[in-house]
Amino acid sequence: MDLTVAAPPNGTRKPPLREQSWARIRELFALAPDATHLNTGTVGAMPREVLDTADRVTREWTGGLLDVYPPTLYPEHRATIAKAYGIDQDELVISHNATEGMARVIHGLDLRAGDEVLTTSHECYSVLSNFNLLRNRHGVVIRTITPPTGFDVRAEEVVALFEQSITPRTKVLAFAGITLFTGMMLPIRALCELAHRHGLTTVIDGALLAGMLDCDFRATGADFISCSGSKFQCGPLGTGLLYVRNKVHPEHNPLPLPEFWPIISTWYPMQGAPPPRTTTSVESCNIGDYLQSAGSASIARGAALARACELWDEIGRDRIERRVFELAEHARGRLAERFGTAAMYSPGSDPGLRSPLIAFHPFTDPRDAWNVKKVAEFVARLESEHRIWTRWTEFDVPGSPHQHYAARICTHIFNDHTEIDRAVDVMGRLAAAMS
Amino acid sequence: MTDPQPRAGGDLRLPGDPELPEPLATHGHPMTAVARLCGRQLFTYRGDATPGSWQAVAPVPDLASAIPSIYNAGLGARGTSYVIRLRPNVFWDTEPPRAVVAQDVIRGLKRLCTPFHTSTALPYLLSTIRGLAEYRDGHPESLRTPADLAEYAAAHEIAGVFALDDETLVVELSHPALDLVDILAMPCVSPAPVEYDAYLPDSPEVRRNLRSTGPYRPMPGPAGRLVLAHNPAWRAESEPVRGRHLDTITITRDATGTDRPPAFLGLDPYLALNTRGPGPLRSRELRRAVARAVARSGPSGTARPAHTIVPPGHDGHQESTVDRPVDFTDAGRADGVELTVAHPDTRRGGAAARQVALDLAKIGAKVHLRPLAQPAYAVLMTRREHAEAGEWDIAVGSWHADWLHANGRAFLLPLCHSGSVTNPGGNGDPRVDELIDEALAAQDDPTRSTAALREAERRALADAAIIPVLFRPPPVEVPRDPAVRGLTTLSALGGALDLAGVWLDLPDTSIGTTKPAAADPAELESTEARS
Repeated sequence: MDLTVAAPPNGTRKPPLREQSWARIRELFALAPDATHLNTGTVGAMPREVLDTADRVTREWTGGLLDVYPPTLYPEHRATIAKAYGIDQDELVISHNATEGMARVIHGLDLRAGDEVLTTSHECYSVLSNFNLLRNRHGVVIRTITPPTGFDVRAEEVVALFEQSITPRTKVLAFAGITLFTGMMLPIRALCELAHRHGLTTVIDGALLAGMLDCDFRATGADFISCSGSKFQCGPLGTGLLYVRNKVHPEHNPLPLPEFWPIISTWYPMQGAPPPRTTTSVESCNIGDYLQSAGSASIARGAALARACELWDEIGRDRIERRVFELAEHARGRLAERFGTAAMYSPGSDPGLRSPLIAFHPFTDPRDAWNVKKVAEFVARLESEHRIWTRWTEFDVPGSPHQHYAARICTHIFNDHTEIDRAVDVMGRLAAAMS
Repeated sequence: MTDPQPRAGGDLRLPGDPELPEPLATHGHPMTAVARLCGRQLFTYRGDATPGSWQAVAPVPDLASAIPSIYNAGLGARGTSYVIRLRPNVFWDTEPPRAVVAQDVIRGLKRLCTPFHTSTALPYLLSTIRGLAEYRDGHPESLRTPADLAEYAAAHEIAGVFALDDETLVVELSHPALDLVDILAMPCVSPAPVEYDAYLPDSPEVRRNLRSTGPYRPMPGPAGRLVLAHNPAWRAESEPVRGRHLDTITITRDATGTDRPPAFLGLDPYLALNTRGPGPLRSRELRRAVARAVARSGPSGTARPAHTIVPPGHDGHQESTVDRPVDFTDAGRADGVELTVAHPDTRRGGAAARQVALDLAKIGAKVHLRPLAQPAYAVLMTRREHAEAGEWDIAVGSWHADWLHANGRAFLLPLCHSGSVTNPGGNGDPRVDELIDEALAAQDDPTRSTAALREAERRALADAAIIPVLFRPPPVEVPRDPAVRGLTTLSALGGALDLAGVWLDLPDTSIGTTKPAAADPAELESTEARS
């Protein structure tokens, strides 16, 4: 399938995306000019080319008599995207979204009654519900810790909290790379090393990682990472990326590959078993194919996600990461200035825990932190009165009997300093009026 | 052939108590079904669901606009914080009609937890809602008057229950409880209007001044009968569950009914043995002798011998204990021992007590029967001071689950935990309390919770502070009138009748056809005035 984009009709060549200004790059996105989109943590904005690709490929395959099955394994797209994440095609699956990927990992784990999974109460509900299903089905024990919150949280605290909760029965460490509720980026490598020391399988909800970080999945040391394709990667809704470690690179993860039973749709041996999982850096099977194959899947979906990833490669993933975080630090500083660091649920002091998702308490009365109506109204008014899209989140805070609610913003490459400044000013005024 | 459409009109005659209690006093009360027509709860159950189906046992929103869940931001991931949004356009039958607000729900909870009335539903609530036990325990002994009580309520909050505004309520729990919505569906957990601050809980004065949120309301009538008529403030469009087809409902003691037991079993009767008093049953050996002597035979039909506390069909029931009951064969006799057996002065209660007297006579005990009218019996079964004073040795009780799914705690917590107000006789094995507490703390892990409850049950049975006698459906009496249609039983709520769907299939000349309810309370009121 030819996915190249036609050259401009006048024959002039635009400078490569890597050299284009952020203002020009913003023009790639199908965003309303007066909208301030600070909610990429929920859904990103698609570049027009991605939208066009989805439309074009859908039309090309509609009503044809072509063999629709081979392309649905997305072999080329997977190879291209995998390279961007430092892995191989056999280790990557284009899934339907991060939660579907997590579900297929969780139910493919070889867990038995009494085995323990250590996770947090700040996971996406779909992670907790899938683990609860595993508990009901197999008698697996789910241990849940509540991560600390606040501006001054340190990575060592987080790692220590996990370490204290590991028992001889623990088999799996499952955590979000970045929590959707408070925006804390967990110390991924340190937690994976902790898991290696205890012989644990690591399952990372990476919904917010793809498209934000210039990330080498293999180097994280994780066994599984499930990402969204439609959040920071800005692909179509209904796309995700699932990394499944399928070979042993001891410098990244010295543990043998975990026992894993891929939840398949079609492709798997109908007699006999796949070869034993490899113990070397050479794969013994294409585990990605087993997970990928799904009969007559959407070809356009994979193509559009691939185009989004290509655009990211063209812009430069290192450049994107720098930009996203530079904007985030600008926003964090403005928010801290306006609301105070005590209002911040997201970490700030420890640079390793920062992410472009920033959750904060906007009101002067601390008790409003457990007033869902007020926080929800704040977010709704930002949208309806000022066209600023954010969201509110809810989560536990250690030691508090209350469920806390926060306003959350995210920065991405289509944002700029001016709109962040405006948004913080508006939020400050609105919060003062509502306090 | 399709079922005929309900027709409007007529007067339904029901047997029952002609005095309607305040909702907080309806737990275990025979007038629960009638009270539910006048008082709405945050959640309730459908009466028209197929018995045995999931719809019959799953709570549905009533005053609340939705069942709080993690998917509608009504429940936090830790499972201890519920956000409940009230449905608009639900009114008290005040002049003019006034909206039911979140503070009314809080007032109802506070009135449920005072020294002036002890609800048998308290074990569920006090063990679940954060700060409720502290609120109840904080009442000073000096409180005497409604003003005293209102002043205390105004000055003290329940730590885990607060209103965000008129329409939004937050309920925080001390541990995850999968049954919270069912607990809040009990008719005793109803909102209370501000007018009730002028009365003590369930006092004669408040019973004469009840306010309604349901389709009917009590009307002044002749002595000896209770008449319910249309509540003009009720709006059909803000009522997802109850209907209203009758003109009036008249309750008298002399109306007749017929038994129609529902299809699930309760523990009825059981014997509570007094381990707290000075009497002989402080002795575990003597309790075991009693347990051995009790014959588990009842009337033919739906009754079954009970060897466990949790009946079949309820979470945590253990068949193995039924097959191999606790072995009391080494238990001795009770020669010369005198025992007072307290029992409700009802047909079932009296029969059970007389059977106990016969059984105990066989091991040499002499039994004094002490029949008690409902109010006195309720006090005896909820106040431990009567047990401590030795006023009874054995109490004949019955217990039916208040909800029918995820109800592992519904028998063992109220009947076996020494801290429950519904277990005045206490128990002799502190480990039973520990195990029940462990089960409550692990409700989000049903496997662990059920295992702890089962162990608690085995130990409670061996301790013989509670002796199960029979499993039986709750007594449900339905009107004999052949014109009655649409009468169903609520599988939850202890098998109470759902009277909200009842209509009378009378000749056309005597009744009209069902009309859609008017949208405006004032219109309803004027309609009421004209009729």
